[in-house]
Amino acid sequence: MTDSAASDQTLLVVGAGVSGMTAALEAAEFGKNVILLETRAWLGGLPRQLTPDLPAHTGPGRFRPDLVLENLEQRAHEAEDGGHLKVLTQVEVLSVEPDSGSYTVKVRQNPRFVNERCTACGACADAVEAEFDDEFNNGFMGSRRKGAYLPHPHAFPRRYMLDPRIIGTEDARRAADACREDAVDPDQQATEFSLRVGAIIWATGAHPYSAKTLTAYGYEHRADVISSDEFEHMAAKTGPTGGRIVRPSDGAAVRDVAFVQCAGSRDLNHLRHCSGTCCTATLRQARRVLDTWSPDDTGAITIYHTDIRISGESETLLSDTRSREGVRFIRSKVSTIDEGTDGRLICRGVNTEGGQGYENAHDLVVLAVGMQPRAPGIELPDGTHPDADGFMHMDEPTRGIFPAGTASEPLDMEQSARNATAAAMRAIEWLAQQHRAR
Amino acid sequence: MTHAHAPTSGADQAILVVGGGMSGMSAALATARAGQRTVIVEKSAVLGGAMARMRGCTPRRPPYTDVEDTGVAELISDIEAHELVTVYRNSSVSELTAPTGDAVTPGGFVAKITAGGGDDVVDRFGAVILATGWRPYDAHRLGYLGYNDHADVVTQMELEELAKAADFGPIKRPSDGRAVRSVLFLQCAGQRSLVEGELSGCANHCCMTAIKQAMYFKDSDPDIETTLLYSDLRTPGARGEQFLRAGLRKAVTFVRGRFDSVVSGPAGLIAGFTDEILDAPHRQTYDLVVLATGMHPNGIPVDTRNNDKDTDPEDISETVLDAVVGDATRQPPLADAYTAAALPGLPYATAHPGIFLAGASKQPMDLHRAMEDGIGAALKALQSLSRVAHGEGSERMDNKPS
Repeated sequence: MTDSAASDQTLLVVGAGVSGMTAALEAAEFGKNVILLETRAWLGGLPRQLTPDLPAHTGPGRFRPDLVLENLEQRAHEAEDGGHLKVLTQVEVLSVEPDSGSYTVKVRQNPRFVNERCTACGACADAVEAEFDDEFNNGFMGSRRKGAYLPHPHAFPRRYMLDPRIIGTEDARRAADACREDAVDPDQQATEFSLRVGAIIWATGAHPYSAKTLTAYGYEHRADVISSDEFEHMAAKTGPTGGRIVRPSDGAAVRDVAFVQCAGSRDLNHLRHCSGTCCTATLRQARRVLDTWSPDDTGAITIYHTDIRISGESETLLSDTRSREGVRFIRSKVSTIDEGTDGRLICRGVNTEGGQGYENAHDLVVLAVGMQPRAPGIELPDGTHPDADGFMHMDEPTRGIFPAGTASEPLDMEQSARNATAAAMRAIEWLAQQHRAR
Repeated sequence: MTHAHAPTSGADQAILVVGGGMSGMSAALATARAGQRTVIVEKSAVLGGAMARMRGCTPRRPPYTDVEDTGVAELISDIEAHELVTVYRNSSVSELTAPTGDAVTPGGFVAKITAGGGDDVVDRFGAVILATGWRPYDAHRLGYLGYNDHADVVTQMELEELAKAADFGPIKRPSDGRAVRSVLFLQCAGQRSLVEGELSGCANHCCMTAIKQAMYFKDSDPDIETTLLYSDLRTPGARGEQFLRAGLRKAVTFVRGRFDSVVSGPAGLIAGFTDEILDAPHRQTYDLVVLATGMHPNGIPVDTRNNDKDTDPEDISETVLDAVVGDATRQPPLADAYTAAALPGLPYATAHPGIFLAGASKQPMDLHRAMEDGIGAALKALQSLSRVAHGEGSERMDNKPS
């Protein structure tokens, strides 16, 4: 990709999660030239990392995040073949400068140390010795990967890469020697270049709020207190337990699981906002746990919650879950989580219905953490800035930069897709208006 | 869907928008701004749909603390000023036909637009956006909430009309015209209900709407008592949470509880409810009780199991409905009447290529989402046109999850 490939009529989409991919594809399928940038080496953003083996609505079963992601990737390949879309991964935005009705965007392409000759055979990974925390699973339960690795089965492009930390070591030489295709290139450097574009869709997404800050819940010191995103890693077949739901401390099967809603959300000391998606996520996760137990030997699930905020079809999921044996809902924000003498976890608090205090022991506690808007990391041009909670908001709709998806407000996948489609339409309108003005 | 002979050509590039509410107008303005001739068919005499009956809307701009203007007038004036938009008021689409042959060919729609009292207009379109909107669930079915017996038990929509009529002066209760000094908002009226014939789902906007309406009173006189009786307060997002806090700061009382009864008393309505936090029964006199009834889609046939068979025949023709529904019988039914709405994972698509759904006719949504949805549907319609123009006869089912 060079400067000349872009023009005043090109749309730049920053972030290739559900929103960014949707916006890019909808614009490309209309016939616009689109460049889609992603800092990571795979597409699909947080949902790709988190989803996966749980259907979003186990009740009516209409919406399958994994299939939506696969479809988005398939469409991205087709749009690239059709010449309307260019996808660049491992690219960071350095600056955005308005430039007489269009924008000059400086970016950095980070090195992969593997070139396009890679066939993803995996010989380099076999050859290297160094291991690092697997960032795809956030290092959960000690998950590791090699210093030469395929970042994700859906890596885009589907090529291995070298961890920068092995460059200059024996491992880099081993990887290069093992490659039969001459694809390993430890001398690759980061490159910086500029793109001139007519409009920008900012779809940098959100990330899970750090449970480490929730000191009263002892997340940092207790292996069996996990965050909701870690639960998803555990539930995934590709995750560290191969999909088994266990106590991380000893790998034992769980018989009693607690879900703590609003962990660090709707809280003036943490995230003030409600992320709107955690209640549905917890219902899905609770169902995932229930499914691991045989119906005549079911364990216990406790959902500590404030307001249950779900929409549409999830209502059925809620009423079904409520009616399941072994499931109880307690309307309470949990005050503290401690470890009992037997190693089990004790949730303490006051049930707001009736005002009774409780002290309940569980095997595993899942903290439903909210969405933290991703800090853009760069100064944005006038007209676009975060609101008090860190989400982007358009001050003036006449500017050529359009926030989309969870960068602009907490949304689920379907809402993100709709929000992003509208953002694409607004960007197209803007481009048309600029074109007429010239 | 009926099929007639009609040529598909580059000339058939206009877009038909059925419904002139906020979603339909947003869609029409987007397609017109993209350079396409666009026709809006609106069954009533005015544009604006449900929102035109409302005094204000929930905030869309930070810091999300105050009631905002609906933006209806601004959008109508943009629509009326745009040379590419034609609006037929008091009108409906009495016939919509697609070309013969391959049933999945988009474009080539011929619509007969029947105006009340006027001549029919026949026009050709390349794509159709259905934005027929919603209407409140019929509160007459909620006799146990006092709606049929007490003039001062009103729906949220009726309160909007009272507030609009008050023109920023004191809102008056219907029974005797006295200024309202105390009001109880009763959430989930006939919603999230397991009762036969009531709505099992949640309309998603009513908690925000009730806070907005409580502010109508609090902003005019902070001493007016406003109590919101809820089961779960659903105010998600930064927007929702900040607006809820603003309501608390304005001293709106939030009670998690269960409604028991409403009867006439000497000074107004005596409402009985159980406060589930204090676990205590409560009785208090209110001038007005406002029911948060759910949303029912217009112009979309309903799930017969919920037997709300009052599809408005004036709204949209049976042929259009057939096109939308298609083989909807194969789709798992959505809750309540939102049966025939968008296909799974295809937020705008219908069973017929070239016909798209926008707004609250497919699922409950608030103003902001409905407008956003209209804008998104506009892009899908424009994509469909460009496919026809490029001779791509068959529309791909975007987002299809398989």
